[in-house]
Amino acid sequence: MDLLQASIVLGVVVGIVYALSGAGLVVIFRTSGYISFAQGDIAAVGLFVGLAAYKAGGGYGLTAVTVILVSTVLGGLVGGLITIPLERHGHLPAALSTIGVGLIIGGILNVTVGGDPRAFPEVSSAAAFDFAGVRLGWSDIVGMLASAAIFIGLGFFFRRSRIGIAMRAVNDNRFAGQILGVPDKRLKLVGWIVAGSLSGVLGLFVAPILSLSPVSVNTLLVFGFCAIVIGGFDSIFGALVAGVSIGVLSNLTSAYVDPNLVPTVLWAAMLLVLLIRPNGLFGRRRLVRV
Amino acid sequence: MSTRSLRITLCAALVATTLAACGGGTADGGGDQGSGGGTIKLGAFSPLSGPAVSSSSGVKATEAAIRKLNDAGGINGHKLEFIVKDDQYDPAKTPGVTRELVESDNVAMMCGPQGSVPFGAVKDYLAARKVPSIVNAGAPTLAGEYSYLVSSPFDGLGGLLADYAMDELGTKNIAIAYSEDILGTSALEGAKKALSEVGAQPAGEVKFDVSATDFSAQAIQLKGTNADFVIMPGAQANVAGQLINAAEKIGYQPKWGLSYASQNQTLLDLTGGALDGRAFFATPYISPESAVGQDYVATLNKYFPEVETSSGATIAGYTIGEVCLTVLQAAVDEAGGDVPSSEDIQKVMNNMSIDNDYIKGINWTTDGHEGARSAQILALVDGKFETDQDYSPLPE
Amino acid sequence: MTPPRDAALDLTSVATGYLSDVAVLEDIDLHVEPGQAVGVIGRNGAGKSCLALTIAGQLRPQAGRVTFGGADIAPLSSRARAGLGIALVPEGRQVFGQLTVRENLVVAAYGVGQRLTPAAFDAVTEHFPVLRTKEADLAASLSGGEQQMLAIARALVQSPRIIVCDEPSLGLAPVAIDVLARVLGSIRDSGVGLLLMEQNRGLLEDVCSSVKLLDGGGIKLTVEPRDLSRPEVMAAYLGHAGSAHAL
Repeated sequence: MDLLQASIVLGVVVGIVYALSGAGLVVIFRTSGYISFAQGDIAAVGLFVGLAAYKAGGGYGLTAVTVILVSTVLGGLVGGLITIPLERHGHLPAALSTIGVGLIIGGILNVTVGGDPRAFPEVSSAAAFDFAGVRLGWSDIVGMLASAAIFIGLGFFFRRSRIGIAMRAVNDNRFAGQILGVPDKRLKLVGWIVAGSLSGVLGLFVAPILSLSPVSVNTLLVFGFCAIVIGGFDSIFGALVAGVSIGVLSNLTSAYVDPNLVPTVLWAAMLLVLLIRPNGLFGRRRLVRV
Repeated sequence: MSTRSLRITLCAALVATTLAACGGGTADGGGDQGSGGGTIKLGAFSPLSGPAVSSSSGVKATEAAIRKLNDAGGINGHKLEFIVKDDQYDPAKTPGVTRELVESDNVAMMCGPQGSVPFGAVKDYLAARKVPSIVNAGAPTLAGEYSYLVSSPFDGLGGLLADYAMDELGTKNIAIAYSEDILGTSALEGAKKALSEVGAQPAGEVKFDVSATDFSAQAIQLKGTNADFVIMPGAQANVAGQLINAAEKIGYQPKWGLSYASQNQTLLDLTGGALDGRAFFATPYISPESAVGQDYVATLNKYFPEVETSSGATIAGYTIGEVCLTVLQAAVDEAGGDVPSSEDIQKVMNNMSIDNDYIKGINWTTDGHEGARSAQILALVDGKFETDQDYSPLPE
Repeated sequence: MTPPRDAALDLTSVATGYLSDVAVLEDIDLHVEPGQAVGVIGRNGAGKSCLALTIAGQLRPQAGRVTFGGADIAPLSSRARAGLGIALVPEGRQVFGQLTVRENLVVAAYGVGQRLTPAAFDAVTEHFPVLRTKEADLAASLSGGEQQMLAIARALVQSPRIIVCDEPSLGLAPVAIDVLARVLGSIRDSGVGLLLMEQNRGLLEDVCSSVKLLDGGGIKLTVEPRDLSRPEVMAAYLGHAGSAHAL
């Protein structure tokens, strides 16, 4: 089998998941202007509740709905009760609060469910078809289709819908938004709710691969963070391209150089992009008033 | 992630420093450590909470072995007191709890403290206090003047798996997957040596990173070697499961040479039945399905019914409890029927061979404190870990 | 409490400031009604922006009444006031720089719970043809005059009864100020009330029917626009010292 070819195909498959994790971060960034570090822990809570539902005899459908529902509600609660109110003291306290929330949720999970990894069900374990020597399962196909739908949906949401445009406006100039009567806090809450449900969806794809533990989604969000820095903080499309590139790049590094160098290569790529194009490959250069 | 770990580490370091300082204040200078009227005090640290809490099954199994003996009357009428302290598998916390065990609780020995990294943090301290330890960990570097290993060295397990593949499975087409740490690299060396004894070469050596999120590159490389058998005894269940799943995904289905480190339900859950008949576990410990294993399972179910009995880590913990009891029986004899001191215990351990139902091939001398040099191969059959090749000496 | 359609904005004995206990302005009386343009002239720091923000609901009056159509609007948020038909064109234009021209207008309509229909877009950009040609450009790429047009267009999209304009001529070229005067005049003639905070006398003369002189923390004089150039008014505008080189 061709090592290069399979590395690339599998890199694309996993890269789409990386991109999805970046997309959730972009949603909050676009409304509030900072990154939430709590998304992985929010997803973990949803996944553990979902796993309990699964073990209690709920089918995969019920499990998936439970995961997304819990992550959505928890995301809304964290944003609405803690982080958005803290924004009045500035972006830094708000962003720091997400680290604090993440650590607290992680700590509670460690005490209640423990840190050992456990298996999480996937949508289907059946193989769909072979492509370039890689057996793609139905769960891969569903994952890619769902990711594509989410990317198209988010792009449309921020470009075309009134709420999406208003969310960008609030981040652009909060004062002007208030003067015009834009309900900025409500829109930020919408951002957190959407990001919460996205992290739940992400968790559904991550947990079957990485196994479920309080840190498994967080492990992956590092790649999502890389993806949005490389792709450009405000570009959903950039997150997609960068996520897939990271998947392929890390696979090639792992196969041809040294698996222990994967994080090094990623961070180096990120710094390089920051030096050459500070707004990312697809981020729009921030125009200043003439 | 790095911010997170840094913060946790800093907080933990602070707490540990505080605890260590408190522990230092209550030191009573020792003297008659462990010699308290008719009670032999044993200590251990283990995660009992925190992210690694699942590893607590080992110390619970150790405790089950000790309680069973107490319920049967103890050793020559002396009762055993087993004190377990929680270090959350955090080497910054381990020194604090170990000082409490040694200086406040006056334990005569450490019986089954958990984990290579936490034990590494207190190995020198325990030696300075002359408290002997029987360690529940696999790294051969942990053996020392006062520390004794039970688990087999991983170079031996790697070699045993290579020999098993050649002799029993009839293939020399063997690849090795390893992580760059002491367990992974020593397994690699052992397997390579076993192959070179018969003039063979590994079909491939594939390195992986245990913290990676994607193992497809390794799976592709392994598939490229087209090996029939892949040796990776150093891998824990979650890592082994991810790599095996990644190989399945590209249609690569070799037989896998693992060890007791990944022998548990997590591996079976992760791989979802795909491994039946294709996974082999090198272990110095018993099979839960054997006759003596049934006895072990019954004991565990009596004292800790919630613990997973088929897990290699649980069986290791129980075996270490049995080894401690063997040592203590000899030490009580050495002390003329009295409660033995730490010195008595170390003295008998420096001249001890163990070959019983639970473990074989332990030969401790004044200079050598290594783990068992005899191991068996378990095969996964219908979701059960059954003996496939009986105990045999590890290749040198 | 919905005010009548032809609602007038009234300030009665209002005291206000940026801090709750320090008054920048005291005893302010103002009356603006639809179709009428009232000017407020004052030096930098005289309190023009403070007054504008108080009317828009960003600052709370410390004393006095702010009513719209006779109803007390003091407790209402900026959002509620925008909904009632009070629009602010803030100092420094404050466009959404990283949004396109059209998106700026979409957000303005969204702020009062409306959609930007093609008809509404056409109606607003009728005043500002340049915004129509630059519909898809980022607001930050526009010139200062164009951004001011966009800020006013944004207010117009909200179908306001009263528009408060805070120093719209600031930083504009003379030719742009002429365009501005024409646009503000036609907005006034379409039946919208205008409160124009300015330092540019020409713009005030072109648009307003009366001008308040803001100085020393209160309204010092109310004059006809054509009287702005009279020496005693100039002296009052220039301040107590009246020294010519103060400007």
